[in-house]
Amino acid sequence: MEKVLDKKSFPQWVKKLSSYTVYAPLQEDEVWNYEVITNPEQVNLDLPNTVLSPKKIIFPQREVYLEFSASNEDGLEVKEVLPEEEPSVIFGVRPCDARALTLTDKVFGGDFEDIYYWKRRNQAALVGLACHTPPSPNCFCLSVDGSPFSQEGLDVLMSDLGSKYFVEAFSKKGEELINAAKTLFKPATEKDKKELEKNRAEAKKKISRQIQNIKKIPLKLKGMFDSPFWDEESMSCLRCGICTYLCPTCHCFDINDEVLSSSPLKGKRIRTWDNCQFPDFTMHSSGHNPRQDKASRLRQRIMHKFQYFVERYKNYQCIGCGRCISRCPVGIDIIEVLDKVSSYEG
Amino acid sequence: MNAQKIKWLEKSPVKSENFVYHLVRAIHLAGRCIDCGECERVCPLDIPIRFLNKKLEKDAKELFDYEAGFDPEQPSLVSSFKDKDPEDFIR
Repeated sequence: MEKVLDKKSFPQWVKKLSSYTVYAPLQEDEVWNYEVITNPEQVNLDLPNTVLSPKKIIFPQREVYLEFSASNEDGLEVKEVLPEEEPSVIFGVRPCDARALTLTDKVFGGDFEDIYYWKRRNQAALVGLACHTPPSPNCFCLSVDGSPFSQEGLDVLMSDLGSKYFVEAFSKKGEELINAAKTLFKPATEKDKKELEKNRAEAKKKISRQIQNIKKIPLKLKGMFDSPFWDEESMSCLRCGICTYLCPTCHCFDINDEVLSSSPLKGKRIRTWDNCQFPDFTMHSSGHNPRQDKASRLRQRIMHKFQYFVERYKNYQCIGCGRCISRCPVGIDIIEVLDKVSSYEG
Repeated sequence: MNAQKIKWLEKSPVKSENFVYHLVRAIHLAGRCIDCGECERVCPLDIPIRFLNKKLEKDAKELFDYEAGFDPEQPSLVSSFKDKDPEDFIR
């Protein structure tokens, strides 16, 4: 389905989607993040990238698994708490961030389906925003099999054509969104399509950063596990965890019980994001910690993304958004690290 | 080893836990923070970290006439005392 939508009509489309919970990037001071939209006029698609990807809507920072309480008999009453029934639409999703969800899908799917993840995933419709200019100077989606107008993970893709958007739907969910405001959309003309192709060809050229020889990296990394390379690269790391918390493909989590009252016993089992760059991440209950030093943790991050994940899921676990590069306080640059891996002789 | 097992706050990033985290963090900076501003420069979500830090700086200055960062020989605020240190909080 290929349509065009006048930019002026965009708020009306959002208005027609009142039966969904609508998320879109909102700016507060200098920070852009996905929030629930209460006023359709607030939706503004003129933005650089958000700080956090829409992953936090599908896989929230904190969620309740179950509630437990001591019943009057000897037993413990356990109540499963599933995500609420809440069909949602997320606007302004960059193709890279949508592609990230197809990667976390592999982890939370397969043999053991994570019901919490999938409940939210299945009821969310993703409306993408193509990147005619890279949202960040550190974008490198092309290096990791992505593109500024990739369809992967998206139900709809909007592309800016100046006074209007080119709107494509790739799924039934996407078509339903467009049909909710059928009258606002016009069929795409040949002229529109030509302009789109022109924009896309130029968009690819604007991505200035790339990983050299990425295809050789997984195998190269395999031989570098015990290398002193990691000590040097991790020296300045503060283990602040920003790289991992902002990463759209990272998905490690922790589960803790939070006791609200001990007598009578009442509490919740909570899942939160966890971070492999924190020293305690691999701390065993015995006190032993296999990743005690920064070198082993940086090695873990790089190898997980560019070797283990490739071996297991045939994809790099990185979508090239560049957030980790832009936000690292000490300038550890994943592209530079990988370039050094490429040329490392040791 | 047991001291490390005390849970001061939950892992949930909710108001109550974030509040305790920031209070504890700020209080630990009494007599230490020199207001270089790096914490705010780095924070991806623009949290006004210096807001609480500056209160502790003010208290260190007003209550103990202590300013961090000027004299490398100066003992730390929390490990030293002077006879004229205020005692009105002791009842």
